[in-house]
Amino acid sequence: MSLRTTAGLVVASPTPMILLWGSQLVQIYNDGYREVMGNKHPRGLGQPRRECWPEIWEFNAPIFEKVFERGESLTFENQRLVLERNDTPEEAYFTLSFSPVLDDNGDIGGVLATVLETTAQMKRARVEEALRESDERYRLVGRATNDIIWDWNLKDDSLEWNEAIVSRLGYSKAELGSTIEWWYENIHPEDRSQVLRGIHAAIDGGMETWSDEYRFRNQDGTYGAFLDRGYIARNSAGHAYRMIGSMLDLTERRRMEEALRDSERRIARVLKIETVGVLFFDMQSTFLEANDTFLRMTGLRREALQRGELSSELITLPEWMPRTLQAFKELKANGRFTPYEKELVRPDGTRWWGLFAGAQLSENECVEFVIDITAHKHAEQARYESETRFHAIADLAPDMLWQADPGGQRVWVNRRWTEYTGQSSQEANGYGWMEAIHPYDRNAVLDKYRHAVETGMRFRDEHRMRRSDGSYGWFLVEAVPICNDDGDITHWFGSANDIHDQRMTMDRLEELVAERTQSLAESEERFRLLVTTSAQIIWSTDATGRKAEDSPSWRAFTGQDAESWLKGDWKRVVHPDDVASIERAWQRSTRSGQPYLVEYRLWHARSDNWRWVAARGIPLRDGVGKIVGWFGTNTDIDERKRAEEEVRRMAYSLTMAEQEERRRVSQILHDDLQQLLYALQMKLRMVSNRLTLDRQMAFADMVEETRELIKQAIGTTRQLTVDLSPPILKTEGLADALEWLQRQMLELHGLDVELITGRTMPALDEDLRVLLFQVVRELLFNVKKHAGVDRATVELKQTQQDLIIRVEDQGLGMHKATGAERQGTGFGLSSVRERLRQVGGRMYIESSLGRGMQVIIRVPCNTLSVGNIKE
Amino acid sequence: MARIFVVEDNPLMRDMLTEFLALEASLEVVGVVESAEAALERFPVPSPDLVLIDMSLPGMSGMELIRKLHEQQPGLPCAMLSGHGEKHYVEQAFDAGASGYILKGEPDELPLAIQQILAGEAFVSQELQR
Repeated sequence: MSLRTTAGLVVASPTPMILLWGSQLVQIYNDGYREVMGNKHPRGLGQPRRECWPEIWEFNAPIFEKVFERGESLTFENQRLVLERNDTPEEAYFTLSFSPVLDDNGDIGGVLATVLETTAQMKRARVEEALRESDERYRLVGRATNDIIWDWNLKDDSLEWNEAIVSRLGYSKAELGSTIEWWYENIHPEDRSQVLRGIHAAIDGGMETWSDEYRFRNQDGTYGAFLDRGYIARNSAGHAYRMIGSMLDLTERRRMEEALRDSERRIARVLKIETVGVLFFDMQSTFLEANDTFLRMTGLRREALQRGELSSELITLPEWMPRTLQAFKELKANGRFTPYEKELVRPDGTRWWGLFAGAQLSENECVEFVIDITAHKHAEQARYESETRFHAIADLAPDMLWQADPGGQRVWVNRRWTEYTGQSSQEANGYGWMEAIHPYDRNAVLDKYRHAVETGMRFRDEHRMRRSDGSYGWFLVEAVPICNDDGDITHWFGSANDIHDQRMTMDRLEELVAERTQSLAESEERFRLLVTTSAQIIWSTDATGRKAEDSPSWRAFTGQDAESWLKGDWKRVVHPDDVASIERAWQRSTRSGQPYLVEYRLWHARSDNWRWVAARGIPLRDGVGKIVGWFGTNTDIDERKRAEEEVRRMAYSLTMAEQEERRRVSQILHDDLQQLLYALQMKLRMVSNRLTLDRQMAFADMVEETRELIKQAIGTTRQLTVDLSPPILKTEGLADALEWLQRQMLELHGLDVELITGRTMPALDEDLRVLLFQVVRELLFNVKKHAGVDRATVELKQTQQDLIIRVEDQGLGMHKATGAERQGTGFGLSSVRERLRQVGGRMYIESSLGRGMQVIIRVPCNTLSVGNIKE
Repeated sequence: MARIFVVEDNPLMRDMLTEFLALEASLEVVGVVESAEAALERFPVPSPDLVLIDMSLPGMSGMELIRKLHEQQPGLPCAMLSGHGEKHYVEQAFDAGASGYILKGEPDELPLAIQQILAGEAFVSQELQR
């Protein structure tokens, strides 16, 4: 066929055909083919094939090659091609046949293709297939799912349910309604209108899907919560004709949600617990979240936590890091770690103890609970230290001490126990200590001890225990239960006191007691007799000394009645002259707590006279030395006192007699001996003269020698005269005598005495004059001998009451206590004092070391005459 | 020859003084009495050149006697003869009007003292001048 013939055939054919001519495969197609061309027509007429259909050239090229080169005809049925005939790629199906067309030369000059488009048939077939598969899947899903699936045909309002509705809601197939009304009716009345509004709005509004939550009635009348989602199927015109939905039972989910909320609430509450720190952290131990308690415990700040800056290293002490890492390792391996305690540090440096427990929550999240146990730890530490201290002290105790548990099992013994018994602590523990009990005592001790432990009563027993050397000693063993606040026995505490010696001496003591009882009774009788017959007065008062207790002995002595005595009316039976000194002494003692000691005259009822008594009182003190009362005695010293008075009187007489004797001797020395010696001297002088005249020189010399001896005798006599009794005292007053003494002291002893005397001086009895002169002379001798100075002052003056002599020096002074030692020869200060006392005078000494001394002598004017001195 | 009147209560001393002074050629004892009172009563006439008076006399003392004599005869030389060695007696004696104080110690002093006093000089025993 020629080109023209072929082209004519193509154009005339109703079947879509296209002729591709020449090497360029120029297109010539008929009207039938125009639909295939799309918007490539009319440009495609006369256009080379490749240029017109580049998108399928890959498919075309081999075909044309085969047709041209081999003259083959090729056919393709429902070939899928993606064309761009309407600007966008489009899937299309064709049944094709290609055959060669010969040119005038008989060569293949072109290709004739008939094209039958099958796209519509192909697509329909695929939809049908998809629908069929979809239906199948739908049915399978409907059967397999727990969800309740419904299928509503909007055209006739029929409704189909899958089987889940039977199993989930309890309806039998017979009960299931087959229309949409049945569905409506079983929606909870409160939800129904809302559901209807919603679903119709979706259908009418052109929506593809609808969903709502509502309560749907179960077969048993209860309602369950459901999430219902529906797909609205529409035709090409957009009219809805079918709706398929699934009801998801929310009851469980709601319950789960509620449970979750509860759980969350609980967790929130847990996190707010003030005593438990809660920490969330990841597997790198970085803190993720923590409650306030944890932050308070650790002293960390929430801001730092939120910035992810916190981790275990920050709060854990270095020495506790290994333990912490071990817990972390355990957590990784087991999902949890064994609770453990550790000491931590806060950023401010304070330390605390925590108890940690933790678990892994998820792959990278862990939770840890912390309790602050610092107080507990400190208490534990204090208890430990206390116990350690107690044991250390107990080890020092000389007694054996031990501790047992509530069941009586010994858990600890002190060092003394192990030393004495030779048992080790381990040996003594439990009931091992029984080994140390004497075999004879052992069973009884065990019974008694067990009874004590069972009843919780104190244990007390005396028994023998074995010493490490095998000997036995007696012990008093006691054990007391120690209870806690609840009254439960926490342990027993026991001690063993060595009473061996005591026990051994007991028998001997008992013997002795028996022996002595008789003699004691006798002695007691003697004592009772002594008390009742004693001349002693016994009295006692309260601490202030104001309130006296009844004193029968006082009353017996003084004849005073009890009432007067108790009223404190003692003055009525005391000599009026002595009351003041008693009061002074008593005040001094009650103020100072020093013993009370005073002598006074007390009325003696029986003899109707005053009698001297010596009162002695001592303070009674309590355990801390506080005075609780006074106890005293009065002893009758009248005899002694009278004897003393007599002695004093005799002493005075003696002094006076001595003075008189001195004076007499002095006078004899002066008036007789001295005259005699002087006469003798003159006589010998005359003898000597005569011998010289007679030229008897040897005798003359002898006489002269004798005269020299007599001269010495005269000198001695003269001095002795003065010493024994200054002649001036006989003739002159005291002032003159003192002036004489002043000169004497300067001339003979080199002591410069300043003498100060009043204008008028009383005329003194010679004896008193002599006494006072001697006193002053003695004091001046004292100054000379002891004061270490060469000056002294003597002042003589008279007041209305007293004659006063003051002797003062600026020398070395002395301690009062040693005053008695500073005595002159034969006439010391004490003798001065005594002599003054004889005339009712007193001597006062004021002195201290290095401050000189002042002696003041007072003689009452009314006794200036010796005749006034009482016998 | 100087005339001496002696007042001395001790009999032995009276005799001895008389005897001792008699040995001195220039002296004459014109009278010896035992007390001051006696001296005043029996004072020699004509008046002696010197009165030797024992200080310690019973009754009126030697001092007093000197005062009395001086009241009657001012300027009458009087010498105190004394056994007392205290210096204040010397002063008292001179205050009373004595011209000398002779200690009963060394008899050789006695004529010496008398001569010195008669010559108008005061005399105090050697022992008291130390």
